Amino acid sequence: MTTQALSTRSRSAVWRRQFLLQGCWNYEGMQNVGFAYAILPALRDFYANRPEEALKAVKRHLEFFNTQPAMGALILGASVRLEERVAAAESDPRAIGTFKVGLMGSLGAIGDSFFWGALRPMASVAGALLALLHPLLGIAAMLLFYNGVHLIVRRRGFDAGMEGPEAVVGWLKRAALNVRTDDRKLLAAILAGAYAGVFAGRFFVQGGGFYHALASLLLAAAAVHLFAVLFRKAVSPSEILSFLLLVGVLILWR
Amino acid sequence: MAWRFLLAILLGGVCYLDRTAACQLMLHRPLVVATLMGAVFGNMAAGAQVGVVLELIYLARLPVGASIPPDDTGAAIFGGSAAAVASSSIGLDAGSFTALLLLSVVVSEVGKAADRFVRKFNVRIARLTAESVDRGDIQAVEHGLLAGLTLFAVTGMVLALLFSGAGVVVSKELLPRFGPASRGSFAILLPALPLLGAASVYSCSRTERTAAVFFLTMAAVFAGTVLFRWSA
Amino acid sequence: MPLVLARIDCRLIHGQVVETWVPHTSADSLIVANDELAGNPFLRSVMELAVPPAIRVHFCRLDEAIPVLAAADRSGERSILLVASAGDAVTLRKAGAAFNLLNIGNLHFAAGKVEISPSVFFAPEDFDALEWFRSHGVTVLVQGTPFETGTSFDAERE
Repeated sequence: MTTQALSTRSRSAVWRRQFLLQGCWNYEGMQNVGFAYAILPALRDFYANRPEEALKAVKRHLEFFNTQPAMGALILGASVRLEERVAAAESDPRAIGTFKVGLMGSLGAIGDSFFWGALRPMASVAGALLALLHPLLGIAAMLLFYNGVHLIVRRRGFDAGMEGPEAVVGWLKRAALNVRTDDRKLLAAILAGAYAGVFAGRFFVQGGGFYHALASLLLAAAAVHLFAVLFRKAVSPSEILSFLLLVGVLILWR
Repeated sequence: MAWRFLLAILLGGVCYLDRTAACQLMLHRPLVVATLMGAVFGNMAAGAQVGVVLELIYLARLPVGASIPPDDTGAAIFGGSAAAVASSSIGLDAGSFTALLLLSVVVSEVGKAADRFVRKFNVRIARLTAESVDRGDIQAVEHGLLAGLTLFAVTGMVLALLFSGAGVVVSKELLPRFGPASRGSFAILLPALPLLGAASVYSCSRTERTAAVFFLTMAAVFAGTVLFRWSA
Repeated sequence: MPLVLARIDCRLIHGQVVETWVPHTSADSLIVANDELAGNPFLRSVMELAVPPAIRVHFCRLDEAIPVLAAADRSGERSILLVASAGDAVTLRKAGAAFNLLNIGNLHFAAGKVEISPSVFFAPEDFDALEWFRSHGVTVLVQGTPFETGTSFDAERE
């Protein structure tokens, strides 16, 4: 029995569909339907005249799956290669499940730290600062800063995965996302400092002297420190806002 | 007014889809959403002012694993539309601005609850999908995904209507009931909000050098701002 | 410094651990006690890449965990202990791991399991483990991230 190769059309279909990885995010299988949906064009190629096996393959990918969505591209690419080998009877189908489950947690952690913990805050503050000059400039900068990197990681991750699961670790090491995470975080902290400085300066009452300015700066810095300590103690931003809202209502009442 | 709400529903729906279900291109960020809503309700700059502050506040909450952060997209829909409407009626003074930002916290929690509901409901879709595949229907995967996507989109559009409606009502009915003086008393809380946002970024950026770098930059920029003002 | 957190998480190291628990507990090392992972250098090398450079990671088999914990304790590390199942946690506690609060972050759904929280599903043997913990002075807290309220199963009073 010969296995069909992956057509260029299906390859780009898989690439496009990975953007909908979370389209049916649910508490039980999380990204399972999204993953099966994304890999389906490849499965249709590999198991073109073997409906029974195609069905089994689809079921494999309806198992629980969850990772950071941008890092999913890497696992998706590698899974396409693994399915190709299974279809050609070169590999055990169980290897696919082991591979996906083994990688999703780690890649999730890498992606969560890099995208949600570093790149997004950095792009957000940069955008917010530039939006003070002009809103559209801020929005454009934020979208560019974030998606420039985001789309490259998706593209290169997908391509690296398509080279086969063996290439995954090498690519991850070269991409060195955990080192870049720390750089981005530092940059985000610098920009956040600038943001805090701009607003503290803006609210500083005009006409006061040097000591007045110094006192406002120290007060603002103390407030930031207090909020950061509260966040570390797992107080959520919503709780702090609700508290401030309550204070505001009490002031109105008085 | 009807066409404004229609536009808000459409744009809000797209932004909400970007939040979880599709792409994650940051179109769902408060800076984008609040500015859009400001433009839809007649004052882009007012919306953007809300966006600049809301953008950072919830960053400390990451969408990791099954944990759902507060809905800052919804908060921005509410804040952006309310700010634009307020600016053309009572004027967007510091007190109203603060009140709107603080009220948006309610919206962010309602949005979070809606998000949780969708993800629970999707369990049924996922189960139905798996059952149909078991019966031999491979295409069920595509239908299942489409169903999930539709649910995310419809919920997003309903929330967009609800939150922009709430924004308009608050700015037209609630805020004018308080005189300028009592609204002004809210304004003393305003400085806390951008600082809360800065702290949010600061707290997800904890590397060893962060604290020194953050506070030094803050002091330098503050000094620059104040000196610029004194010399002007 | 002793253990700052003991956690059951079928995904072991992932975003919730690295981005929320590590800063929340000011931990500086992660101890992953899991037989499968200890025997799989590929998965281990990927997991290592998920951890910030400043945090130390120790991978070990379940039966090696106690000496590893002791060594980390001696060198003054603030460690988070991660295991993949409730059964593994019971084994470690019986062997002498020092924790009286056990966090459960994720236990995935499978047929026949009961929902405890949106991301934690218990099989019958997990309930047995829960009872064992409660009767041995361990409070079990089902909580994905420190921001969540969580569900607590308090230890029974002696």
